Amino acid sequence: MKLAEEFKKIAGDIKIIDKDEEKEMYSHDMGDVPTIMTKILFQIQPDFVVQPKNAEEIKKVLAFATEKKIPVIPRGAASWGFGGVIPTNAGIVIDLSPFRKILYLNKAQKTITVEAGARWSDIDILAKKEGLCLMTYPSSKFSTVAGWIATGGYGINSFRYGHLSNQIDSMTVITPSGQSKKLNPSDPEFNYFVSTEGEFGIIVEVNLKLRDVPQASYSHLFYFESDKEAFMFIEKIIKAGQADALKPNAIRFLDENHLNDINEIMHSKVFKKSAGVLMEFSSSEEDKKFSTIIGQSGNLEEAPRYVASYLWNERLFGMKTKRLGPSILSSESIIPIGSAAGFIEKAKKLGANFGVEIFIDSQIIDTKMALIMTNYLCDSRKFKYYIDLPLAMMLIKTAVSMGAEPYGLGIWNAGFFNYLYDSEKKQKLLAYKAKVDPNNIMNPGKFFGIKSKFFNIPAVVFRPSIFSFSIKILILLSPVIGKIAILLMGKDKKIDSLDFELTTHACAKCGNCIAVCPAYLVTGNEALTAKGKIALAKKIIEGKNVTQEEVENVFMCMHCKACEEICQTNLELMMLWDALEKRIEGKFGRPEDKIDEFLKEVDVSKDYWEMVERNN
Amino acid sequence: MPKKYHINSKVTPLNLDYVFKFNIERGENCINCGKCTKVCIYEAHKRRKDDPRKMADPNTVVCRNCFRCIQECPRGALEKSLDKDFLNIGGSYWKSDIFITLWKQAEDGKVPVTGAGYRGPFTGSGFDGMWTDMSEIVRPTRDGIHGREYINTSVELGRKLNHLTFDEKGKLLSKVHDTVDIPIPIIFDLPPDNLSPNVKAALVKAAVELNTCIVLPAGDIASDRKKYIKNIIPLISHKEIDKHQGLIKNTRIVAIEYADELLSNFPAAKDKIKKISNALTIIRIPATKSVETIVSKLTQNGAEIIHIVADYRGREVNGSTDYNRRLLKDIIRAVHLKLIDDRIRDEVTIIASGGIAMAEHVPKAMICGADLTAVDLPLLIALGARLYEEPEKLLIIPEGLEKIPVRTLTQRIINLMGAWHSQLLEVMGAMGIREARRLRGESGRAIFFEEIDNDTFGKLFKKRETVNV
Repeated sequence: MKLAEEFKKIAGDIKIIDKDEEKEMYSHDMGDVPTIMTKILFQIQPDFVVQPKNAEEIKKVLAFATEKKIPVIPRGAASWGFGGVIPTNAGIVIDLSPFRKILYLNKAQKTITVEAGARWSDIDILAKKEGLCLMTYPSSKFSTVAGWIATGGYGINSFRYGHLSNQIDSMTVITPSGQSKKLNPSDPEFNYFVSTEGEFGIIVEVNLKLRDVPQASYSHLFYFESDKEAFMFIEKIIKAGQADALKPNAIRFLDENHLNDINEIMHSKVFKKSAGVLMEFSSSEEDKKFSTIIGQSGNLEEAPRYVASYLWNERLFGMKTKRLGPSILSSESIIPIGSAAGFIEKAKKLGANFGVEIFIDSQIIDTKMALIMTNYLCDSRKFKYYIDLPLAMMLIKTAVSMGAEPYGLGIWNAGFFNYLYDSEKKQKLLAYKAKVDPNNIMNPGKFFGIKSKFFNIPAVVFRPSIFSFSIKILILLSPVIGKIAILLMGKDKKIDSLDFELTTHACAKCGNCIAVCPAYLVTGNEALTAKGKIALAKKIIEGKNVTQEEVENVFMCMHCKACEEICQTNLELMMLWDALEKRIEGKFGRPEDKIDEFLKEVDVSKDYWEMVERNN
Repeated sequence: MPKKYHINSKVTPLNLDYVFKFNIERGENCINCGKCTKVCIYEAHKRRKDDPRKMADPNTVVCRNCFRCIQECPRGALEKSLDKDFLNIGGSYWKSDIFITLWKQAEDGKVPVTGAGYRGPFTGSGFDGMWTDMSEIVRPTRDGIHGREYINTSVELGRKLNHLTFDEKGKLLSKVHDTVDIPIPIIFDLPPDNLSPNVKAALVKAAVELNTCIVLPAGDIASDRKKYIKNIIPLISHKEIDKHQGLIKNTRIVAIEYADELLSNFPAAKDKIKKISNALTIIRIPATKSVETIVSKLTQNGAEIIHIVADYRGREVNGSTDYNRRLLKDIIRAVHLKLIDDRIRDEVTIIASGGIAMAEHVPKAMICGADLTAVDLPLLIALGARLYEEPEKLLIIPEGLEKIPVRTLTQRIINLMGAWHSQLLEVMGAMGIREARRLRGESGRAIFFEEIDNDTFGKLFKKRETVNV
């Protein structure tokens, strides 16, 4: 509180969020790690949250944090699950998601300049009006540009266009000392800001390269007897493609469990229950070339066109199957294509030990490597979840022992740091960190190493040497631990229909809804969005105390159904809002005046009407 | 200059079971953005009162078909269709649109607009095949129909002399006949007899307030209506003149049903009435095939006013069902021309009725040669009645009408006449005519579609048709 008050004196008109119930949104991300656990380890509640509107305001915040020596945690859409935006020792969260303007599109040079919080989806919509579109984009297209630069970079179309960093023309970053730097990929400092999870500064503006809108989309889905055959086919196609100068935009692998789960959600048998490989081309010439190659390989089972198109068009909704959970746990690693099938086999065995079904989603990111997501459904409301949680780490451990790199560190994978950076690279990173951030205010207590409460004793577990060792032990013991767990608590069963309580758990917290929410656009308040309201509903269902102010947020809603339309997990949100409003109205009454005020605010907002017309 | 005639309209909605022209439906994909509330100038779209975050169901009654909401909706969530009940109403003559227009006129007395352009044909049968002259519509000195320019819509009922005769001393020899002046060329015709008392009362009261007259069957004139007798035209059989002496004594005009024997003994009947009072006599005659001959004969026998009654669709009455029957427009023209040929046109006042459904039918009937018109069904439609032509004529009086106060009903009829009066002024103003009586027979100031069609293309196509045959 005191810090927030102090900052307010110098803040000018920087928007500050410092009420306890509002700050709570900023103490977790998409990951389903029980709050009890994070709270034991860390001080996850930030001192306060700021929503800056420009670079000057960001500098002001950094100067304040440097002076007070408190952590600064940059935050985008919070749709990454490894704890990158969770404070470990309080501090200031810089919420960049309302800092989302698209500044300038250069049609001749095919570039677009955007602010850090700009959404990929918004950029694509705007660029398409000028005949341009994104090259590589994340499967959570409603995440922020800077967020994905800092955490990922491999996604849809990676196979053809490579890592996101290839598509950055230049970007402006602000270092903790308040220095603003415009970097382009040839700058030696450039790479310190890509996939480094906000350890060295804050990305504020990005100039992205675009491509022409392709003439059409041709997608193909092939079925295979086993995962191994599928990956062999992928390797063959890559080789044939290299010879014929043919490159699909994307190659995606889905295993039989994943395709089957999609069937279960749709209550129909659209997909065959077997391993599948999906590819996409964007011109008829490429498609013809590909057909010739395929024709020569013979004996391939291809799904009908519409099935392939459906799967391609659903590419942004990878967590759709979460509603069968209602929780989902994932780990991601980048592994050589040759080892992929072997890893998947091991992963599935490991999963079986714990009574969970591993399903795979993989993007082939270049001619050598595959980004593999190993996911499994579970139920965060049950005690077994605590047994299921470490499985995610065991899966990564299995992968790295087969030559993989972890895809991102955050908090939960920080123990794998050494598998991502060898000691030479580590020294370089540490040296640069010491140079630009001597006070260690940028996103501390993760990435390089975990810092926890209680004199850092619990964090010992996360020390790479100890972590690696203990996970290894766990893997070895898994047949025993897993069996006992299954014996005591049963297997994780899939859920067929969702009631309100389950709905609140099935929310993937992916933030898609935030990107399309008009109430959020006008107020900048995440608590008004579907994600925020679900968090509130969860609290109410659990019988926790809620304040009048907190519940009134529920009514600030245009009932535009945008959240329901965009929802990853297809939740019946409108029904949930009606029920929630009714329940709250019965207890707290209905804030008629506030609703009227809200409607007026929306009505005069230029941004709102732009949004309404944009979705036209 | 006489005092300006003004009809006081007052917004008088009637919450009976209306039929709407349009069904606007709000689709599931509405995002409650409120754009429609901004673009609709008729307020068909509003937010819900109980929850202003959501849109209310569209209020179709006020929709004037401008299509703005449909075009501007960012989600294409609004859908508009013609209402099924609306399409069923009326028939080939009483088009469904007429009802909407009359209801609207009765509600506020204003001339309604009908939305985003008229896309139908500019001609049709009957009055629709007539275009009035609008050459003066842009006259620079016009300051609107309610402005300084005085347009007189009053008409005179009764016999006018061809010429006056004087003796050597200059003393008037001719006997100038009595006439009755009414301020609009419209009287109310015989209502159906199954109406509730409040509706009947409203019809009489409206006639009184408008200073026009209403035709009622003599037997139906209750004693409490007697104070309005000056505005009532009792309808009697020529055989019952003696029986209704009391009524005739007080009234200004009497109507008698036509019967063949009147052709010869009308003077006697007229004398009988004149002995009782100075009341004028209307002969009410069905529009049969030979109506013009009968009218001519009656006029030569001293008839003062003749009321020609076509059927409810403005067609000739001859007992046959074929569609070759003349329409009111042609019947009036035939009568008018016959009387002119016989050089007796000014000796008689012609009232036309049957199928007068809309405001423009009044000036059009007059242009064809009627001195004034009588309306019937529109007065009831103003009160929410619906009419169906098929399979047979069916008039449906809205449920609960008998409980509506007389004052409300009266005002709606007055509103309707107010709207019609405004439109009459509009037509006259545009034609440059300031006296309603000068409209009569001004067929040179109108265009008859069949005639110009024939003049222009007749030579070409008639020939081809005969060749084909």
